[in-house]
Amino acid sequence: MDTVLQLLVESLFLGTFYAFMSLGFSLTWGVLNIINLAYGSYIILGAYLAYTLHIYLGLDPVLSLPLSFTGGFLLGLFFQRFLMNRVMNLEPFMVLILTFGLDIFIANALNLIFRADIRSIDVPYAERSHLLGPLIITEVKALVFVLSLILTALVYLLLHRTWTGRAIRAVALDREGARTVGVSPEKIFLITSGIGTGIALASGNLYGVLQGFTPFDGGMLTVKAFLVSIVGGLGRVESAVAGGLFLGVLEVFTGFYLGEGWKFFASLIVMFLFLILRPRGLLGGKYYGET
Amino acid sequence: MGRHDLVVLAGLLALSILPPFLTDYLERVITSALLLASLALAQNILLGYTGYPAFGSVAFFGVGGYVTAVLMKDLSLPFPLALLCGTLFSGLLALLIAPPVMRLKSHYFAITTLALQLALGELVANLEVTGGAQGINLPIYRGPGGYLIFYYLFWTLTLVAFLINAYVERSTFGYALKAIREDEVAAETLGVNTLLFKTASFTLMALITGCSGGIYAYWITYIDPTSMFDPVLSVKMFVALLMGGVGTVGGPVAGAFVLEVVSETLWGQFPRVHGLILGLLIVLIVLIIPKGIWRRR
Repeated sequence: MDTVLQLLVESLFLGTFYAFMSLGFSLTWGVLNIINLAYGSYIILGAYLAYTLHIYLGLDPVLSLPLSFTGGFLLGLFFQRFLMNRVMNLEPFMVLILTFGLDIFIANALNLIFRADIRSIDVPYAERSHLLGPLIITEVKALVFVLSLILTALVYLLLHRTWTGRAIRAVALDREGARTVGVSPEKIFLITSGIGTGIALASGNLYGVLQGFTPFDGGMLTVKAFLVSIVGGLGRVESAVAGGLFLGVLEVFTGFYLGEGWKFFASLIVMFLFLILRPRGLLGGKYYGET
Repeated sequence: MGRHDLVVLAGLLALSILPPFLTDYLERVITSALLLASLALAQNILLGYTGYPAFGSVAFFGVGGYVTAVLMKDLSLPFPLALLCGTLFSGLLALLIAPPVMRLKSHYFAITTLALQLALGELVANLEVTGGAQGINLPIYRGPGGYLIFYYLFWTLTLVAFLINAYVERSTFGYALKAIREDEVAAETLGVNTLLFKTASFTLMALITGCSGGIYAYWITYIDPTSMFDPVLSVKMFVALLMGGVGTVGGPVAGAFVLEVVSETLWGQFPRVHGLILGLLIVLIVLIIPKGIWRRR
């Protein structure tokens, strides 16, 4: 019983992080109908940014979160303006190829700068853990959980309580309809891409605290963001939370009962089945990318 | 077939008498180019004529390679028989999954096949019979002709795939596929059994891709999950297809040779940054020539 309880807590912690991590991927897919295969590399980019700031300026990755988000926001604007805008009218699979090329490029650029060694951000609280009744709570995991929860809530507030957020949701539902009521979809695409990439880099900070990373870990993270978006549905915070928690439970339990090696396989098979049986996901609806 | 396609066919036929004049290095480059051409031609049947992008078609490359390798190693089957089994097994797998998978459209179809590719890669990395993450060592080919045999195997496969594409281009079978590509609902209304034709197209793609994987496994003699289910191979194949021209008979072959020569030249000169250049090349090709070097019907 204690084991199951411990696993459930681990699932909750990991799942909440996955929910936040995948929000950007899910948002750009839902609103822009762009599947960004370079998304995982954005996350790794964020992890290396936090790593560099920690090494040279002694900045804690939690404190550099706003920096990562801002850097990601600008990068997202740049990519949208100069790359994605040009291919949005082409067949969707061209975008898959383009972003995969981008993924190869970013991973190899990072490899050139940092080499392929596993890096980790050595925060002073890295090894600390506490006993809470029958549970063992690792400080790092708890910290990432709390931060992910706060940041996810912030994104929810942004989407539901601000004019920009409502405009983003309007564009996701109906591009032409949004245009008739005075929302410019092109501007919303830029902002959404900025926010999405910002979320990716910011979650890279958290990922870097959570575990070691190499330049080539992006692909695996993209697949995770994929699974979260497909299981939950696109573009909504509640969908990402549902998908994230699902992935958390799936990974923690298969990892424990079947072995670490089967974790990724289980995720992929579930993703395959969801795509065939229920491509809209658990909470999916009528967003642009879901038609 | 148009004039361009006949030029490509002539070039392909000329390759059969070229080996005596080739260095070992060039022979290897052309063998790789032929491999890529066979994959691009296989994908062309599906994407070019039927309009379905199987982003993870390399899944069948892996399946064909692994079935061939396991049969040769564990059951000591001779290579031709093992290759036949590998090819047929890939086709059978495609036949089974095509009906559910091909109900999906566009990028949903693309990523479903990608998920399948990655899942199968993870599966063979975990199974004992496939040697797990360590992979499989195959016996080295010591028969007559040496490694030239693989040059001719890939050449034959490419030629067969080319002829299948030429057949699709002008046959009733091909017209049905093109009807599906242009408007699936209209095709269905006009009495085309879309499910049947889509399944046939998908299976044909898988047979050629699986055969290519089987030959590759024996050629390279050592296979592991990462190299047999490599997404980079998928993307290289798509880039070759895009460069040559999707939906043309000769285009995929031309694209594969151009891409292979370009990447080999860059490979040799700047080994440290080849990944960087490959990534950049892919981005540029999608931006500059989204419709292919030649034309699109």
